Amino acid sequence: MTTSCSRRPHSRLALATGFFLALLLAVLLASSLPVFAQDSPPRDYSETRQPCADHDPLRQLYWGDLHVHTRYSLDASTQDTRTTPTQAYDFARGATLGIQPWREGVPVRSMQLQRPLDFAAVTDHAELLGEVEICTNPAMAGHDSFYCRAYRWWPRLSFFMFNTSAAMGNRLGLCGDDGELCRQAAAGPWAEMQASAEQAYDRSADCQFTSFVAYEWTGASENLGNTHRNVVFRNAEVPALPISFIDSNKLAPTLYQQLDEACIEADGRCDVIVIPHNSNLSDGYMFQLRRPDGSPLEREDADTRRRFETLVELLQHKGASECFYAAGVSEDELCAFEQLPYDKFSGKFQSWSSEPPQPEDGFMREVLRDGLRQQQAIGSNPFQPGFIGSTDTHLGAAGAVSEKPFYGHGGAGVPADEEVPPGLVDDPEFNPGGLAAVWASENSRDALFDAMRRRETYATSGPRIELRLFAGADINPGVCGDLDFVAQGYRDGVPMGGELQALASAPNIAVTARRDPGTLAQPGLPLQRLQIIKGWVDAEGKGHERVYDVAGDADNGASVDLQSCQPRGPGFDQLCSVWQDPEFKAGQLAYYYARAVENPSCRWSQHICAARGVDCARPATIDEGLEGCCAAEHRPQIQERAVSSPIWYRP
Amino acid sequence: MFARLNRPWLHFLLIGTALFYLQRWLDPVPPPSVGPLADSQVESLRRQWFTTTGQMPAPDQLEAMVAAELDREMLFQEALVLELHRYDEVVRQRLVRNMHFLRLAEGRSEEELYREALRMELHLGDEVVKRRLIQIMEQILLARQAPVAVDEQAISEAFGQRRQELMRPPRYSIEQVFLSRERAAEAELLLQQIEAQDLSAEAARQFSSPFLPGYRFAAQSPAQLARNFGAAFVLNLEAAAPRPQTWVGPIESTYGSHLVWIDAMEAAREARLEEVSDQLRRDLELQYKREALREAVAELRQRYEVIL
Repeated sequence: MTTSCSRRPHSRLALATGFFLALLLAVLLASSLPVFAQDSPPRDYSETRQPCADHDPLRQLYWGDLHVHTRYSLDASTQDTRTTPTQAYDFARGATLGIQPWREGVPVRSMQLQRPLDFAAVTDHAELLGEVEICTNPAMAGHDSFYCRAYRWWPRLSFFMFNTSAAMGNRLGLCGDDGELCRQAAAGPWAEMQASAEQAYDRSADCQFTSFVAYEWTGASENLGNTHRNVVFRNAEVPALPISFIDSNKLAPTLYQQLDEACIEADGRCDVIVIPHNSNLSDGYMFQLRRPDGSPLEREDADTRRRFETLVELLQHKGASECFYAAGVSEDELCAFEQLPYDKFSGKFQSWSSEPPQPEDGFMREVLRDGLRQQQAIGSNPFQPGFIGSTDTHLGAAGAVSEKPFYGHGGAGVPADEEVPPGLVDDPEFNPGGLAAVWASENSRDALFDAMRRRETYATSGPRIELRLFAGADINPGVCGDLDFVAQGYRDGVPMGGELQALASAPNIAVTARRDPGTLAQPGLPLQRLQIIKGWVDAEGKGHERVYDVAGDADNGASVDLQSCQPRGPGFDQLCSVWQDPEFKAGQLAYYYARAVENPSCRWSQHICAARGVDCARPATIDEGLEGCCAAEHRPQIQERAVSSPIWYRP
Repeated sequence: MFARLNRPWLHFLLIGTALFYLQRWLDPVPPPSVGPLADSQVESLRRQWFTTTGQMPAPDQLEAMVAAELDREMLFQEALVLELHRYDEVVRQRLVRNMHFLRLAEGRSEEELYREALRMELHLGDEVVKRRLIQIMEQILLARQAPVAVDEQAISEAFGQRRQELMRPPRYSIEQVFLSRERAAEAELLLQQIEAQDLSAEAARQFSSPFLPGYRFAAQSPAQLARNFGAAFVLNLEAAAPRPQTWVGPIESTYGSHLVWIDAMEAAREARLEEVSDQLRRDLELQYKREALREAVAELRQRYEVIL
């Protein structure tokens, strides 16, 4: 049967109706476009995935750990850490993890997060050798080479060959003429790290968990100052091999050049940021003001540095890098929090090789001021990172930041490979590390990565304190009483990590924090106060800083009973303030960041000391391994905190 | 033909070969052996158990520990036979560090230190080296004896066995009016007023105190709600027996009181296979790998004489 429509003659009525309908459609489309753009912004993913169902343009808070080691890290395996990257991600998502010591292949201890993470990155050390990988992995080119067959089946002959070859200063034939095959062999663990990240990543609309492909570039200065950096990729498009400290000729600028070539400028959508950590142990070498050849930094160097190093890890197992404290040298006593007693990690083992810490060792307040000075001098700020916290766990225990219990670092310090240490579970100067807090529209790799690039992140020492910071000339001074604090913040200002330019008068800085609700088993603590820290450089290039309490009460009388570790006294559930800098100078470079501080609580070590009934006045109560409880440098009490990324002001 | 075989050198060779095999038959080369553990090692195992559990191990527990320790010894011994300690970076660095610790490093290159450490056989007495070599041996064994591949049937069976564990949580879509602690006394009356006036959740929001995470939460699991409100809120909400399209409250949280409009609820449900198949596959792969390793170690044990 033929349809009648095709034969129907056009009529004026039909034409008019068609025109009207077309017009109506056009009007409807036009009117609906802005609404569509506002409610469901188009999402340009750099990878194939389903859009997240839970998407908020006003951004949501996601918690993660971007510094996690597994069995592939030399220093973890030497303490009998057996966690694989897959297990580390599973742990981050809430699974139980068995850790050393091991009995009959069964872990003696096990851990589980009370609150799973939203994202994580396994960052094993890139410095791996490939020869054994080639000969032990049947899938590797070279596995069936003469050398490898000898290596596996005729060790005496291989002993002769390998040693002769080494004595002549050559790499083995199995590595190829230029050693390339052995470098390629290091790709084995790298491939597993990628596969594990892929398995853990939720590409469905649920967006439950995000993993990042990442690794640690384990650098050091000539005097063994720490210059370690974590290299974090946007998506699964990553270089064929991690570029190690050795590959980059032991220089960070070379690393950046190589990352540009192998990732940023390569075909595809590879993208990467670099996160320095433990600048507190760098003896000033992490953020140097000179090029490797000794010449001053130039604008191009500063641009490159700022482009890659969008974040810095402020808090982790091996101490805090926010700011330096020593009585008589600086005033901010909160900076004593988790400050290590040496300026290089080698000082832990060989005291002669390090000094007590100094403000210029790499503490970020001073580094940020150096950045401002460079801005003045060469017109570009090389040191403009946002802040995150992470753990640096060498147990593969991503996000295990509780002070009670703390299971130890797992890479240096007191080993638990043979038995659980009888007293303090690790060296007293270590701590459970922190978390990375990221404000992103959704829990996808692209959204989180974009947030890390624009520095809309903050560090916490473990508690999940919620912290927001906005600054702008137009921010309403009464915004704390409004229901739409966040919407106004984005509309009228810039969020943490942002930049303000050329203002006639001091901006309004709106900051608010909410206490960590904690869990039923471990409720969070109330907040004590909310602070703004300002750093600036005067016309003579001299650095200054000032800490302002903008909400809460430093003298609220809250304390903690060091015998029972029970907190006492009042605090605040939420704090909010809109603050103006009383010393603002329109022509002066400056940065501002926020710090929310909890009421006092017991440090991890004191939880153990108290539970074991240590009374320093009675030596009989100090059992084996608990001597640290009564050491002069032991700090039984802490104030946990959240530290926002700065907002920079540039005239 | 026979004349060609009638050569003295050939007789010498054949008789020599026959004698060689006769000698091996009469006096076979013994298999390599491990064990028994020294008394001090057994004591150390016993002490470790006590430190960990607070009790002395039962005889069968001690026996199992000794057997596991002997397996480790066997893997270590096998690794030494394969000279694995000569080609591993972890071992190398550990030995170099030991030389520094022994203050024998003065003026020597890393390569020299490494060679000297091997000459001094430091690798034989170092627990970290031992552990590392055992790890590599395990990798070699796994490479030789690949685990069984995971198939769809195994996934399906695991899905059936783990149904309960894989349950999906309930979901709540809610809106709220928040009252900070100092306004807690208003809560009851305000809820009555909202219900009496039949206010929508959006209209009722005007009475709220500021709440940083917002006022509307879609399809949230209890864990997601706990992130923003705290765990106590979730317990209190569940205890209030909420029903869709009704107000409940005041619900107490870490932060204050909440009047909650239940927009929609989805009950907890069983997972669908496609939602969890990746997780099941991963778990099975791990399980098969462990089993393959256990079998490979048992096979290796056949080549050794294990003396308990």
